Amino acid sequence: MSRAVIDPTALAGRAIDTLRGLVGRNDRPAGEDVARAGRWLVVTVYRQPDDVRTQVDGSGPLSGMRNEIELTIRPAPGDKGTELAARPTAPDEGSVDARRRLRAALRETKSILECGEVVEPSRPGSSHPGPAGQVLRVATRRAWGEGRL
Amino acid sequence: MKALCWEGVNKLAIEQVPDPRIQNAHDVIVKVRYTVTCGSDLHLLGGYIPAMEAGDVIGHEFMGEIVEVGPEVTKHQVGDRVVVVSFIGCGSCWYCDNDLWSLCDNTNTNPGITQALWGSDPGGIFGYSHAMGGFMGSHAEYVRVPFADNGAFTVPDAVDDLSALFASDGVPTGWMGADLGGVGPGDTVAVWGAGGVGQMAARAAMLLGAEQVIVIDRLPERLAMTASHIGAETLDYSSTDVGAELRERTGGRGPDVCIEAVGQEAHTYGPEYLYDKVKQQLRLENDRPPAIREAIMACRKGGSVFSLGVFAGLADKFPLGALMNKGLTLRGAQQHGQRYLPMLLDRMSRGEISTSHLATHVMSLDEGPHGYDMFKNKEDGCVRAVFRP
Repeated sequence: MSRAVIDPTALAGRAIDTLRGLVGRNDRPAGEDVARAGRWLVVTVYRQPDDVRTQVDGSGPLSGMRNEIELTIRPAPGDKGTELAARPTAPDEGSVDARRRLRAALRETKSILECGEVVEPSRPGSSHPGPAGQVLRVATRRAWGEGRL
Repeated sequence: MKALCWEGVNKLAIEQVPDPRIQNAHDVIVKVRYTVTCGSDLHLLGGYIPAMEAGDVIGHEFMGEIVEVGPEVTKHQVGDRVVVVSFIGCGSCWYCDNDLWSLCDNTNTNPGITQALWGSDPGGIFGYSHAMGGFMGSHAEYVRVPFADNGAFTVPDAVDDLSALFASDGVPTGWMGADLGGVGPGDTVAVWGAGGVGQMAARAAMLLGAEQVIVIDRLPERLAMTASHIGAETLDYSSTDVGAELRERTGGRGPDVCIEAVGQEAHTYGPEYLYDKVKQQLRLENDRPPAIREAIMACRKGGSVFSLGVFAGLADKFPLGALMNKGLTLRGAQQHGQRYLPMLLDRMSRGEISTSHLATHVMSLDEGPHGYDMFKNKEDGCVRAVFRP
Protein backbone atom coordinates (compact mmCIF):
# COMPACT_ATOMS: atom_id res chain seq x y z
CA MET A 1 0.00 0.00 0.00
CA SER A 2 1.29 3.42 -0.87
CA ARG A 3 2.57 5.40 2.09
CA ALA A 4 1.20 8.54 0.50
CA VAL A 5 -2.30 7.13 0.65
CA ILE A 6 -2.33 6.19 4.32
CA ASP A 7 -0.11 8.70 6.05
CA PRO A 8 -1.59 12.13 6.88
CA THR A 9 1.88 13.57 7.29
CA ALA A 10 2.65 12.51 3.75
CA LEU A 11 -0.55 14.20 2.62
CA ALA A 12 0.39 17.38 4.43
CA GLY A 13 3.89 17.16 3.03
CA ARG A 14 2.56 16.80 -0.46
CA ALA A 15 0.28 19.78 0.03
CA ILE A 16 3.16 21.91 1.28
CA ASP A 17 5.34 20.66 -1.53
CA THR A 18 2.69 21.59 -4.05
CA LEU A 19 2.15 24.99 -2.45
CA ARG A 20 5.87 25.62 -2.79
CA GLY A 21 5.70 24.56 -6.40
CA LEU A 22 2.65 26.70 -7.07
CA VAL A 23 3.82 29.93 -5.52
CA GLY A 24 7.53 29.62 -4.72
CA ARG A 25 10.78 29.56 -6.60
CA ASN A 26 11.07 25.83 -6.31
CA ASP A 27 13.63 24.19 -8.55
CA ARG A 28 11.54 21.11 -9.15
CA PRO A 29 7.88 20.79 -10.05
CA ALA A 30 5.40 20.16 -7.26
CA GLY A 31 4.74 16.55 -6.44
CA GLU A 32 7.76 15.24 -8.32
CA ASP A 33 9.94 12.52 -6.95
CA VAL A 34 13.54 13.66 -6.51
CA ALA A 35 14.82 10.21 -7.38
CA ARG A 36 12.83 10.14 -10.61
CA ALA A 37 13.06 13.65 -12.01
CA GLY A 38 12.74 12.21 -15.50
CA ARG A 39 9.51 10.42 -14.78
CA TRP A 40 7.09 10.11 -17.70
CA LEU A 41 4.09 12.41 -17.53
CA VAL A 42 0.98 10.49 -18.57
CA VAL A 43 -2.67 11.26 -19.26
CA THR A 44 -5.40 8.82 -20.18
CA VAL A 45 -7.51 10.05 -23.06
CA TYR A 46 -10.96 8.55 -23.53
CA ARG A 47 -10.44 8.08 -27.24
CA GLN A 48 -9.01 5.41 -29.54
CA PRO A 49 -5.20 5.30 -30.04
CA ASP A 50 -5.52 6.33 -33.69
CA ASP A 51 -7.46 9.46 -32.71
CA VAL A 52 -4.79 10.38 -30.19
CA ARG A 53 -2.00 9.73 -32.69
CA THR A 54 -3.67 11.93 -35.29
CA GLN A 55 -4.02 14.78 -32.81
CA VAL A 56 -0.47 14.47 -31.54
CA ASP A 57 0.91 14.36 -35.08
CA GLY A 58 -1.13 17.40 -36.09
CA SER A 59 -0.99 20.97 -34.93
CA GLY A 60 -2.20 20.39 -31.39
CA PRO A 61 -0.80 21.69 -28.10
CA LEU A 62 2.16 19.29 -28.17
CA SER A 63 3.29 20.29 -31.67
CA GLY A 64 5.39 23.21 -30.47
CA MET A 65 7.57 20.99 -28.31
CA ARG A 66 7.91 17.90 -30.48
CA ASN A 67 11.68 18.41 -30.78
CA GLU A 68 12.09 18.57 -27.00
CA ILE A 69 10.10 15.51 -25.94
CA GLU A 70 9.60 11.82 -26.58
CA LEU A 71 6.10 10.41 -26.73
CA THR A 72 4.45 7.04 -26.39
CA ILE A 73 0.87 6.09 -27.15
CA ARG A 74 -0.60 2.84 -25.88
CA PRO A 75 -4.10 1.45 -25.24
CA ALA A 76 -5.32 1.86 -21.67
CA PRO A 77 -6.64 -1.18 -19.79
CA GLY A 78 -10.31 -2.02 -20.06
CA ASP A 79 -12.49 0.66 -21.56
CA LYS A 80 -10.42 3.61 -20.37
CA GLY A 81 -9.14 4.76 -23.77
CA THR A 82 -5.52 5.57 -24.59
CA GLU A 83 -2.52 6.41 -22.46
CA LEU A 84 -0.51 9.32 -23.81
CA ALA A 85 2.92 9.66 -22.18
CA ALA A 86 5.64 12.25 -22.70
CA ARG A 87 8.92 13.35 -21.17
CA PRO A 88 11.61 15.87 -22.08
CA THR A 89 14.60 14.52 -23.98
CA ALA A 90 17.07 17.12 -22.64
CA PRO A 91 20.06 15.60 -20.78
CA ASP A 92 18.87 17.17 -17.54
CA GLU A 93 15.37 15.82 -18.29
CA GLY A 94 13.95 19.28 -18.69
CA SER A 95 13.64 22.47 -16.73
CA VAL A 96 10.85 23.09 -14.27
CA ASP A 97 9.15 25.33 -16.78
CA ALA A 98 9.52 22.76 -19.54
CA ARG A 99 7.84 20.09 -17.44
CA ARG A 100 5.07 22.52 -16.46
CA ARG A 101 4.50 23.37 -20.11
CA LEU A 102 4.46 19.67 -20.94
CA ARG A 103 1.88 18.91 -18.26
CA ALA A 104 -0.26 21.76 -19.52
CA ALA A 105 0.07 20.59 -23.14
CA LEU A 106 -0.88 17.02 -22.21
CA ARG A 107 -3.96 18.25 -20.34
CA GLU A 108 -4.94 20.48 -23.26
CA THR A 109 -4.48 17.63 -25.72
CA LYS A 110 -6.72 15.39 -23.63
CA SER A 111 -9.39 18.08 -23.26
CA ILE A 112 -9.43 18.92 -26.97
CA LEU A 113 -9.63 15.26 -27.93
CA GLU A 114 -12.41 14.52 -25.46
CA CYS A 115 -14.59 17.59 -25.61
CA GLY A 116 -13.30 19.75 -28.43
CA GLU A 117 -12.05 22.66 -26.34
CA VAL A 118 -10.33 23.63 -23.11
CA VAL A 119 -12.78 25.13 -20.65
CA GLU A 120 -11.73 28.46 -19.16
CA PRO A 121 -12.29 29.77 -15.64
CA SER A 122 -14.50 32.85 -15.39
CA ARG A 123 -12.75 35.93 -16.69
CA PRO A 124 -12.34 38.44 -15.29
CA GLY A 125 -12.39 36.74 -11.92
CA SER A 126 -12.55 38.75 -8.75
CA SER A 127 -12.35 42.51 -9.21
CA HIS A 128 -10.33 43.05 -6.01
CA PRO A 129 -8.57 39.89 -4.80
CA GLY A 130 -6.60 41.49 -1.97
CA PRO A 131 -3.19 40.31 -0.68
CA ALA A 132 -4.21 36.70 -0.06
CA GLY A 133 -5.92 36.65 -3.42
CA GLN A 134 -2.75 37.85 -5.15
CA VAL A 135 -0.90 34.84 -3.71
CA LEU A 136 -3.70 32.61 -4.88
CA ARG A 137 -3.45 34.10 -8.37
CA VAL A 138 0.19 33.08 -8.55
CA ALA A 139 -0.91 29.57 -7.62
CA THR A 140 -3.73 29.42 -10.13
CA ARG A 141 -1.50 30.72 -12.92
CA ARG A 142 0.66 27.65 -12.39
CA ALA A 143 -1.99 25.13 -11.36
CA TRP A 144 -2.78 23.98 -14.90
CA GLY A 145 0.82 22.86 -15.27
CA GLU A 146 1.12 21.37 -11.79
CA GLY A 147 -0.12 18.30 -10.01
CA ARG A 148 0.58 14.63 -10.19
CA LEU A 149 0.87 13.90 -13.87
CA MET B 1 -24.32 43.42 -12.89
CA LYS B 2 -25.14 42.97 -9.23
CA ALA B 3 -23.69 39.97 -7.36
CA LEU B 4 -23.22 38.62 -3.85
CA CYS B 5 -19.49 38.27 -3.23
CA TRP B 6 -17.27 36.58 -0.66
CA GLU B 7 -15.12 39.28 0.95
CA GLY B 8 -13.31 37.24 3.59
CA VAL B 9 -14.12 34.95 6.50
CA ASN B 10 -17.76 35.60 7.48
CA LYS B 11 -17.93 38.66 5.21
CA LEU B 12 -20.29 38.99 2.27
CA ALA B 13 -21.25 42.04 0.24
CA ILE B 14 -23.34 43.04 -2.74
CA GLU B 15 -21.11 44.40 -5.48
CA GLN B 16 -21.14 45.49 -9.09
CA VAL B 17 -19.10 42.99 -11.13
CA PRO B 18 -18.57 42.54 -14.87
CA ASP B 19 -21.31 40.68 -16.74
CA PRO B 20 -20.33 37.13 -17.72
CA ARG B 21 -19.79 36.43 -21.40
CA ILE B 22 -19.55 33.39 -23.64
CA GLN B 23 -15.95 32.17 -23.26
CA ASN B 24 -16.23 28.63 -24.62
CA ALA B 25 -18.24 27.29 -27.52
CA HIS B 26 -20.42 25.11 -25.28
CA ASP B 27 -21.35 27.95 -22.87
CA VAL B 28 -24.69 29.61 -22.33
CA ILE B 29 -25.51 32.67 -20.25
CA VAL B 30 -28.42 32.26 -17.84
CA LYS B 31 -30.41 35.13 -16.37
CA VAL B 32 -30.91 33.92 -12.83
CA ARG B 33 -34.49 33.83 -11.53
CA TYR B 34 -33.80 32.10 -8.22
CA THR B 35 -30.58 31.15 -6.43
CA VAL B 36 -30.39 29.63 -2.98
CA THR B 37 -28.08 29.23 -0.01
CA CYS B 38 -26.64 25.77 0.58
CA GLY B 39 -25.10 24.39 3.76
CA SER B 40 -21.84 23.88 1.90
CA ASP B 41 -21.64 27.66 1.32
CA LEU B 42 -21.21 28.04 5.06
CA HIS B 43 -17.88 26.23 4.78
CA LEU B 44 -16.75 28.97 2.36
CA LEU B 45 -17.95 31.66 4.72
CA GLY B 46 -16.20 30.04 7.67
CA GLY B 47 -12.90 29.93 5.81
CA TYR B 48 -12.73 26.14 5.77
CA ILE B 49 -12.48 25.87 1.98
CA PRO B 50 -9.20 27.24 0.66
CA ALA B 51 -8.57 29.21 -2.52
CA MET B 52 -11.20 31.96 -2.29
CA GLU B 53 -10.46 35.52 -3.39
CA ALA B 54 -12.17 38.60 -2.02
CA GLY B 55 -14.72 39.53 -4.68
CA ASP B 56 -15.55 35.98 -5.79
CA VAL B 57 -19.23 35.49 -6.61
CA ILE B 58 -20.63 32.59 -4.59
CA GLY B 59 -23.73 30.41 -5.11
CA HIS B 60 -24.16 27.12 -6.94
CA GLU B 61 -27.85 26.13 -6.75
CA PHE B 62 -29.96 28.07 -9.23
CA MET B 63 -32.44 28.23 -12.09
CA GLY B 64 -33.28 30.84 -14.70
CA GLU B 65 -33.70 31.66 -18.36
CA ILE B 66 -31.14 31.28 -21.13
CA VAL B 67 -30.34 34.63 -22.72
CA GLU B 68 -27.31 33.77 -24.87
CA VAL B 69 -25.92 30.54 -26.36
CA GLY B 70 -22.46 29.58 -27.58
CA PRO B 71 -21.90 28.35 -31.15
CA GLU B 72 -21.60 24.65 -30.22
CA VAL B 73 -24.70 24.49 -28.02
CA THR B 74 -27.28 22.23 -29.66
CA LYS B 75 -29.91 21.37 -27.07
CA HIS B 76 -30.83 24.83 -25.84
CA GLN B 77 -31.88 28.15 -27.21
CA VAL B 78 -32.53 31.64 -25.94
CA GLY B 79 -35.66 31.70 -23.80
CA ASP B 80 -35.38 28.17 -22.39
CA ARG B 81 -36.38 27.95 -18.73
CA VAL B 82 -33.68 25.79 -17.18
CA VAL B 83 -32.36 24.42 -13.94
CA VAL B 84 -28.59 23.94 -13.89
CA VAL B 85 -26.70 21.19 -12.08
CA SER B 86 -24.15 22.64 -9.64
CA PHE B 87 -21.29 20.49 -10.91
CA ILE B 88 -20.02 21.05 -14.43
CA GLY B 89 -19.50 17.97 -16.61
CA CYS B 90 -17.95 17.89 -20.08
CA GLY B 91 -20.03 14.85 -21.07
CA SER B 92 -17.16 13.31 -23.01
CA CYS B 93 -14.59 11.95 -20.57
CA TRP B 94 -14.60 8.46 -19.06
CA TYR B 95 -16.15 9.70 -15.81
CA CYS B 96 -19.03 11.56 -17.46
CA ASP B 97 -19.60 8.61 -19.79
CA ASN B 98 -19.88 6.39 -16.71
CA ASP B 99 -22.37 8.77 -15.04
CA LEU B 100 -19.85 9.96 -12.46
CA TRP B 101 -20.35 13.57 -13.52
CA SER B 102 -18.90 15.39 -10.53
CA LEU B 103 -15.61 13.61 -11.22
CA CYS B 104 -15.32 15.09 -14.72
CA ASP B 105 -11.74 15.12 -15.99
CA ASN B 106 -12.04 18.33 -18.00
CA THR B 107 -13.83 21.00 -15.97
CA ASN B 108 -11.48 21.85 -13.13
CA THR B 109 -9.25 24.59 -14.51
CA ASN B 110 -6.84 24.44 -11.54
CA PRO B 111 -6.19 20.72 -11.17
CA GLY B 112 -2.85 21.16 -9.40
CA ILE B 113 -4.54 22.41 -6.23
CA THR B 114 -6.99 19.58 -5.62
CA GLN B 115 -4.54 16.97 -6.83
CA ALA B 116 -2.33 18.06 -3.94
CA LEU B 117 -5.18 17.92 -1.46
CA TRP B 118 -6.91 14.75 -2.57
CA GLY B 119 -4.66 12.93 -5.03
CA SER B 120 -6.98 13.68 -7.98
CA ASP B 121 -9.02 16.61 -9.19
CA PRO B 122 -12.83 16.42 -9.22
CA GLY B 123 -14.85 18.45 -11.71
CA GLY B 124 -15.60 22.15 -11.51
CA ILE B 125 -18.48 23.70 -9.61
CA PHE B 126 -20.08 27.13 -9.72
CA GLY B 127 -19.05 29.61 -7.06
CA TYR B 128 -17.01 27.25 -4.95
CA SER B 129 -13.42 28.49 -4.91
CA HIS B 130 -10.57 28.48 -7.37
CA ALA B 131 -9.59 25.02 -6.19
CA MET B 132 -12.85 23.82 -7.74
CA GLY B 133 -12.41 25.52 -11.08
CA GLY B 134 -12.69 29.26 -10.52
CA PHE B 135 -16.20 29.62 -11.93
CA MET B 136 -18.20 32.61 -10.75
CA GLY B 137 -21.33 31.64 -8.86
CA SER B 138 -25.05 32.07 -9.24
CA HIS B 139 -25.82 34.70 -6.60
CA ALA B 140 -25.86 37.25 -9.40
CA GLU B 141 -28.09 38.56 -12.14
CA TYR B 142 -26.38 36.41 -14.77
CA VAL B 143 -24.16 33.34 -14.74
CA ARG B 144 -22.07 31.65 -17.41
CA VAL B 145 -22.80 27.91 -17.75
CA PRO B 146 -20.06 25.84 -19.45
CA PHE B 147 -21.10 22.61 -21.22
CA ALA B 148 -24.72 23.69 -20.97
CA ASP B 149 -26.00 20.86 -23.17
CA ASN B 150 -25.07 18.51 -20.33
CA GLY B 151 -25.76 20.56 -17.21
CA ALA B 152 -28.78 22.73 -18.03
CA PHE B 153 -32.18 21.00 -18.08
CA THR B 154 -35.41 22.46 -19.41
CA VAL B 155 -37.95 22.70 -16.60
CA PRO B 156 -41.25 20.93 -17.32
CA ASP B 157 -44.31 23.19 -17.41
CA ALA B 158 -45.78 21.44 -14.38
CA VAL B 159 -42.84 22.46 -12.18
CA ASP B 160 -42.79 26.07 -11.00
CA ASP B 161 -39.59 28.10 -10.72
CA LEU B 162 -39.24 27.90 -6.97
CA SER B 163 -39.69 24.12 -6.93
CA ALA B 164 -37.33 23.64 -9.86
CA LEU B 165 -34.62 25.60 -8.06
CA PHE B 166 -33.87 22.70 -5.73
CA ALA B 167 -33.37 20.31 -8.63
CA SER B 168 -30.05 22.08 -9.13
CA ASP B 169 -28.44 20.48 -6.09
CA GLY B 170 -30.57 19.49 -3.10
CA VAL B 171 -32.80 16.99 -4.90
CA PRO B 172 -30.12 15.16 -6.95
CA THR B 173 -27.67 15.16 -4.06
CA GLY B 174 -30.22 13.58 -1.76
CA TRP B 175 -31.24 11.09 -4.42
CA MET B 176 -27.65 10.11 -5.05
CA GLY B 177 -27.05 9.41 -1.36
CA ALA B 178 -29.95 6.98 -1.26
CA ASP B 179 -29.22 5.45 -4.66
CA LEU B 180 -25.45 4.96 -4.34
CA GLY B 181 -25.88 4.14 -0.64
CA GLY B 182 -27.73 1.09 -1.93
CA VAL B 183 -31.20 1.72 -0.48
CA GLY B 184 -33.60 -1.01 -1.56
CA PRO B 185 -37.07 -2.31 -0.80
CA GLY B 186 -37.67 -3.03 2.87
CA ASP B 187 -34.61 -1.19 4.13
CA THR B 188 -34.37 0.94 7.23
CA VAL B 189 -32.55 4.19 6.46
CA ALA B 190 -31.23 6.78 8.90
CA VAL B 191 -30.38 10.27 7.68
CA TRP B 192 -28.24 12.67 9.71
CA GLY B 193 -29.36 16.25 9.06
CA ALA B 194 -32.88 17.57 8.37
CA GLY B 195 -31.78 20.38 6.07
CA GLY B 196 -32.74 20.47 2.42
CA VAL B 197 -30.38 17.70 1.32
CA GLY B 198 -31.24 15.46 4.28
CA GLN B 199 -34.95 15.82 3.60
CA MET B 200 -34.45 15.01 -0.07
CA ALA B 201 -32.33 11.98 0.83
CA ALA B 202 -35.12 10.77 3.09
CA ARG B 203 -37.71 11.24 0.35
CA ALA B 204 -35.49 9.43 -2.13
CA ALA B 205 -35.07 6.53 0.26
CA MET B 206 -38.86 6.22 0.50
CA LEU B 207 -39.27 6.30 -3.27
CA LEU B 208 -36.59 3.63 -3.61
CA GLY B 209 -38.63 1.35 -1.37
CA ALA B 210 -37.29 1.87 2.15
CA GLU B 211 -39.78 0.66 4.74
CA GLN B 212 -38.60 2.90 7.56
CA VAL B 213 -36.80 6.25 7.26
CA ILE B 214 -35.55 8.12 10.33
CA VAL B 215 -34.15 11.66 10.12
CA ILE B 216 -31.92 13.00 12.90
CA ASP B 217 -31.53 16.67 13.84
CA ARG B 218 -31.97 18.95 16.85
CA LEU B 219 -33.94 21.87 15.37
CA PRO B 220 -37.65 21.41 16.12
CA GLU B 221 -38.85 23.31 13.07
CA ARG B 222 -36.77 21.18 10.73
CA LEU B 223 -37.87 17.97 12.41
CA ALA B 224 -41.48 19.10 12.18
CA MET B 225 -41.04 19.98 8.51
CA THR B 226 -39.49 16.57 7.83
CA ALA B 227 -42.37 14.79 9.50
CA SER B 228 -45.08 16.82 7.78
CA HIS B 229 -43.64 17.28 4.26
CA ILE B 230 -41.52 14.15 3.86
CA GLY B 231 -43.40 11.74 6.09
CA ALA B 232 -40.28 10.34 7.73
CA GLU B 233 -39.82 9.47 11.39
CA THR B 234 -37.70 11.98 13.27
CA LEU B 235 -35.21 11.82 16.09
CA ASP B 236 -34.05 14.80 18.16
CA TYR B 237 -30.44 14.20 19.10
CA SER B 238 -30.52 16.92 21.76
CA SER B 239 -32.82 14.83 23.90
CA THR B 240 -31.82 11.23 23.35
CA ASP B 241 -28.96 8.80 22.75
CA VAL B 242 -29.09 8.42 18.97
CA GLY B 243 -27.33 5.06 18.84
CA ALA B 244 -29.57 3.54 21.50
CA GLU B 245 -32.71 5.01 19.95
CA LEU B 246 -31.85 3.68 16.52
CA ARG B 247 -31.16 0.23 17.96
CA GLU B 248 -34.49 0.27 19.72
CA ARG B 249 -36.39 1.37 16.62
CA THR B 250 -34.71 -1.25 14.43
CA GLY B 251 -35.11 -4.33 16.56
CA GLY B 252 -31.53 -4.16 17.80
CA ARG B 253 -30.02 -4.34 14.31
CA GLY B 254 -29.25 -0.75 13.37
CA PRO B 255 -30.15 0.94 10.09
CA ASP B 256 -29.29 -0.86 6.84
CA VAL B 257 -28.20 2.39 5.22
CA CYS B 258 -26.92 5.51 7.01
CA ILE B 259 -26.74 8.79 5.10
CA GLU B 260 -24.70 11.65 6.50
CA ALA B 261 -26.06 14.98 5.20
CA VAL B 262 -24.25 17.38 7.51
CA GLY B 263 -20.61 17.86 6.52
CA GLN B 264 -17.50 19.36 7.98
CA GLU B 265 -19.09 21.66 10.55
CA ALA B 266 -21.28 19.10 12.26
CA HIS B 267 -22.65 19.88 15.70
CA THR B 268 -22.94 17.56 18.67
CA TYR B 269 -23.02 17.81 22.43
CA GLY B 270 -20.39 17.13 25.07
CA PRO B 271 -16.60 17.04 25.08
CA GLU B 272 -16.40 15.54 21.58
CA TYR B 273 -17.75 18.77 20.12
CA LEU B 274 -15.29 20.93 22.05
CA TYR B 275 -12.43 18.65 21.01
CA ASP B 276 -13.29 18.86 17.32
CA LYS B 277 -14.02 22.56 17.41
CA VAL B 278 -10.67 23.40 19.00
CA LYS B 279 -8.77 21.15 16.59
CA GLN B 280 -10.57 22.66 13.61
CA GLN B 281 -9.96 26.23 14.71
CA LEU B 282 -6.28 25.44 15.20
CA ARG B 283 -6.28 23.84 11.73
CA LEU B 284 -5.15 20.54 13.24
CA GLU B 285 -8.06 18.93 11.41
CA ASN B 286 -10.14 20.33 8.56
CA ASP B 287 -13.37 18.57 9.33
CA ARG B 288 -15.57 18.09 12.36
CA PRO B 289 -17.04 14.64 11.77
CA PRO B 290 -19.31 13.69 14.73
CA ALA B 291 -22.26 12.84 12.50
CA ILE B 292 -20.37 10.41 10.33
CA ARG B 293 -18.70 8.89 13.38
CA GLU B 294 -22.16 8.30 14.80
CA ALA B 295 -23.45 6.91 11.50
CA ILE B 296 -20.65 4.36 11.36
CA MET B 297 -21.25 3.29 14.95
CA ALA B 298 -25.03 3.06 14.47
CA CYS B 299 -25.08 1.21 11.15
CA ARG B 300 -25.98 -2.46 11.20
CA LYS B 301 -23.29 -5.05 10.51
CA GLY B 302 -22.64 -5.27 6.78
CA GLY B 303 -24.57 -2.07 6.16
CA SER B 304 -23.75 0.98 4.11
CA VAL B 305 -22.76 4.53 5.06
CA PHE B 306 -22.91 7.35 2.54
CA SER B 307 -21.19 10.71 3.06
CA LEU B 308 -23.25 13.43 1.38
CA GLY B 309 -22.11 16.33 3.55
CA VAL B 310 -19.11 18.22 2.21
CA PHE B 311 -15.73 17.50 3.78
CA ALA B 312 -12.48 19.18 2.77
CA GLY B 313 -9.54 17.30 4.16
CA LEU B 314 -8.57 15.40 7.27
CA ALA B 315 -10.83 14.28 10.12
CA ASP B 316 -9.71 13.06 13.52
CA LYS B 317 -10.91 10.08 15.59
CA PHE B 318 -12.40 8.33 12.61
CA PRO B 319 -13.82 4.92 13.68
CA LEU B 320 -11.95 2.82 11.16
CA GLY B 321 -12.08 -0.19 13.48
CA ALA B 322 -15.87 -0.16 13.49
CA LEU B 323 -15.94 0.29 9.73
CA MET B 324 -13.68 -2.67 9.12
CA ASN B 325 -14.87 -5.08 11.78
CA LYS B 326 -18.56 -4.49 11.06
CA GLY B 327 -17.97 -5.04 7.37
CA LEU B 328 -19.44 -1.71 6.36
CA THR B 329 -19.39 -0.11 2.94
CA LEU B 330 -18.44 3.57 3.08
CA ARG B 331 -19.02 5.71 0.06
CA GLY B 332 -19.24 9.41 -0.69
CA ALA B 333 -19.51 11.77 -3.63
CA GLN B 334 -20.33 15.23 -4.77
CA GLN B 335 -23.53 15.08 -6.77
CA HIS B 336 -23.79 13.43 -10.18
CA GLY B 337 -26.87 15.50 -11.00
CA GLN B 338 -26.77 14.99 -14.77
CA ARG B 339 -27.33 11.29 -14.12
CA TYR B 340 -30.61 11.86 -12.31
CA LEU B 341 -32.16 15.14 -13.47
CA PRO B 342 -34.43 13.88 -16.28
CA MET B 343 -35.91 11.25 -13.97
CA LEU B 344 -36.13 13.65 -11.02
CA LEU B 345 -37.81 16.44 -12.98
CA ASP B 346 -40.31 13.87 -14.20
CA ARG B 347 -41.01 12.77 -10.63
CA MET B 348 -41.31 16.40 -9.55
CA SER B 349 -43.82 17.12 -12.29
CA ARG B 350 -45.87 14.12 -11.10
CA GLY B 351 -45.81 15.43 -7.54
CA GLU B 352 -43.71 12.59 -6.11
CA ILE B 353 -41.06 15.01 -4.86
CA SER B 354 -42.01 18.41 -3.49
CA THR B 355 -39.43 21.04 -2.62
CA SER B 356 -41.01 24.48 -2.34
CA HIS B 357 -41.45 24.11 1.44
CA LEU B 358 -37.64 24.31 1.74
CA ALA B 359 -37.75 27.95 0.59
CA THR B 360 -38.61 29.31 4.01
CA HIS B 361 -37.26 32.80 3.25
CA VAL B 362 -37.46 34.35 -0.22
CA MET B 363 -35.85 37.77 -0.59
CA SER B 364 -34.08 40.06 -3.01
CA LEU B 365 -30.41 39.56 -3.81
CA ASP B 366 -29.70 42.85 -2.04
CA GLU B 367 -30.67 41.11 1.18
CA GLY B 368 -28.14 38.33 0.54
CA PRO B 369 -25.82 39.05 3.46
CA HIS B 370 -28.79 39.13 5.83
CA GLY B 371 -30.13 35.94 4.27
CA TYR B 372 -26.86 34.14 4.95
CA ASP B 373 -26.88 35.41 8.54
CA MET B 374 -30.32 33.94 9.03
CA PHE B 375 -29.34 30.70 7.33
CA LYS B 376 -26.12 30.29 9.24
CA ASN B 377 -27.65 31.01 12.62
CA LYS B 378 -30.88 29.12 11.84
CA GLU B 379 -32.88 32.22 12.75
CA ASP B 380 -36.63 32.39 12.30
CA GLY B 381 -36.80 28.75 11.28
CA CYS B 382 -34.69 29.37 8.20
CA VAL B 383 -34.08 26.17 6.22
CA ARG B 384 -33.02 27.86 2.99
CA ALA B 385 -32.77 31.54 2.05
CA VAL B 386 -33.69 32.05 -1.60
CA PHE B 387 -32.62 35.13 -3.54
CA ARG B 388 -34.32 36.81 -6.49
CA PRO B 389 -31.65 38.77 -8.41
